[in-house]
Amino acid sequence: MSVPLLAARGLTRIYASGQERVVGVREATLSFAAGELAVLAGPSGSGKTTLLNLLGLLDRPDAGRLELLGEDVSTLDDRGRARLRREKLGFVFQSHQLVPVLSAEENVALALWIRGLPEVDCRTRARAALASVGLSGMEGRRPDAMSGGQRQRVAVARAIVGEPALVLADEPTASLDSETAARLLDLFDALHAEKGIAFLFSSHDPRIVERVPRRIRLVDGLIVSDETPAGGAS
Amino acid sequence: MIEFLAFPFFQRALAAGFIVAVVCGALSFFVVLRRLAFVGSGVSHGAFGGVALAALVGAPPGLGALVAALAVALATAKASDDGELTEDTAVGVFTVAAMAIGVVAISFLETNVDLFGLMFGNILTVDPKDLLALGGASLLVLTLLVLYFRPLLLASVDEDGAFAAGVNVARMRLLVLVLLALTVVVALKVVGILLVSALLVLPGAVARSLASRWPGFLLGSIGASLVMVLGGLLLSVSLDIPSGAAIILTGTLLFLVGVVAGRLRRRK
Repeated sequence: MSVPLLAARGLTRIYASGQERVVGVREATLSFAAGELAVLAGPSGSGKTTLLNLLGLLDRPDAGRLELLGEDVSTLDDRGRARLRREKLGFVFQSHQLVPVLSAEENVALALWIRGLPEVDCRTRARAALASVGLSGMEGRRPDAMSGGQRQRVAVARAIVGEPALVLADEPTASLDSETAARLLDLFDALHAEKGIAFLFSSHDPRIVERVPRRIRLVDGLIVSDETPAGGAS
Repeated sequence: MIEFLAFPFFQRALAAGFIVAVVCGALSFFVVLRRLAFVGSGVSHGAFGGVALAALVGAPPGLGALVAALAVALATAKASDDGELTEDTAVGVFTVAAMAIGVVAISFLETNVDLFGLMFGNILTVDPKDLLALGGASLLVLTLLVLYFRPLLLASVDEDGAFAAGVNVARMRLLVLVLLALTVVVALKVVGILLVSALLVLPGAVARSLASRWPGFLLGSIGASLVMVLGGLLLSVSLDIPSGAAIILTGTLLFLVGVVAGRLRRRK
């Protein structure tokens, strides 16, 4: 049996809110294989972002264990977690903050520049990543000269340029109109099929959720269902 | 005016102006991009307490300014890292505390402190020792900026993205504040505590209104800073007006010209 890409057991995250303790995620247990495409579904406040942050090593759980490619990352120090994020994971955030004074190509290359890779390699790979998200010919454009959908595609290119095993995306379609959101999901599908990159993203939009082969539903921080309906693939 | 070039004091002033302009221009790029104008102003005002305390105990004023500016910068970084305060609130609190300490220290001084020089600077009084310290500190700031340029750039615009990409965001935040503190001390002699924040803001603001890409923005910021400092210096000796104020007025004029030129360019 192959080692899962991600394996979480009993992940729990509790926040202090004044005198109260708010459970963000409660004993989340799930396994995620390489090359999978899945969505975390649930209403606002259901714990989607908290769980994504835990799985993406952006936050530490208060209890539970997390393995990435068979390595226990629960006890890793900050430097080790930063290394894994850099090498194995890619991220797309709802508010895609691209650097306004950089071109699309430079924004994508920046993810590699900070890893100390040679300039020529960074640029070549950035152009390839932009091509794979359908933005060939727009390498020199600045973010403010692009549409919201194009900027989100640059953000996706930035997430995949380092050839991660898994891309985590927090509500990537939230700020997009339904047509642009559907096209972004098509892009996830294509990248998943062509490059074998696993995608795990969150959404509260039922039209998006229905198109994804695996749907993990959360309510009040608890995973209430984890289903892969027959014919659910888009 | 050319006869001034023969005077060593003016040669030192030109050299000091050039160094300060380059370092402030380079850092101004980040101050404007990261919206740190208030933090820069706070750190510079915080240096006042250090200078006054140094005068009280007979220590070099530059050292006092450095310690106080660093203390304000480090306390700000710690408070905002802990998530208890935002960066601007934290710097607001620590700055007024440092200034109050300065006022108390001055009240105990029996001799007069050159408060006017401290507040507004006087580039024409830079001595060889000042120039050496200025060069060393500037070299350190520029080296750190070059070494950490890219992670600083990403963390300045998108802290979440930078953290996800493996950048030590807390360290970058601290680095910017330490660079600000060092630069404040570097520029203190030239434009003084009150006006140093202008040198951290105006060059970047001028360049931002004219350039849309980073190389133009960065080089424009350094260029605008050079025009500000050297132009202001020439204005100062020509009109016999205080050098610090002349530098800032030159920068303000440059900013207004930049805003108008930027608008005209966008209309085309």
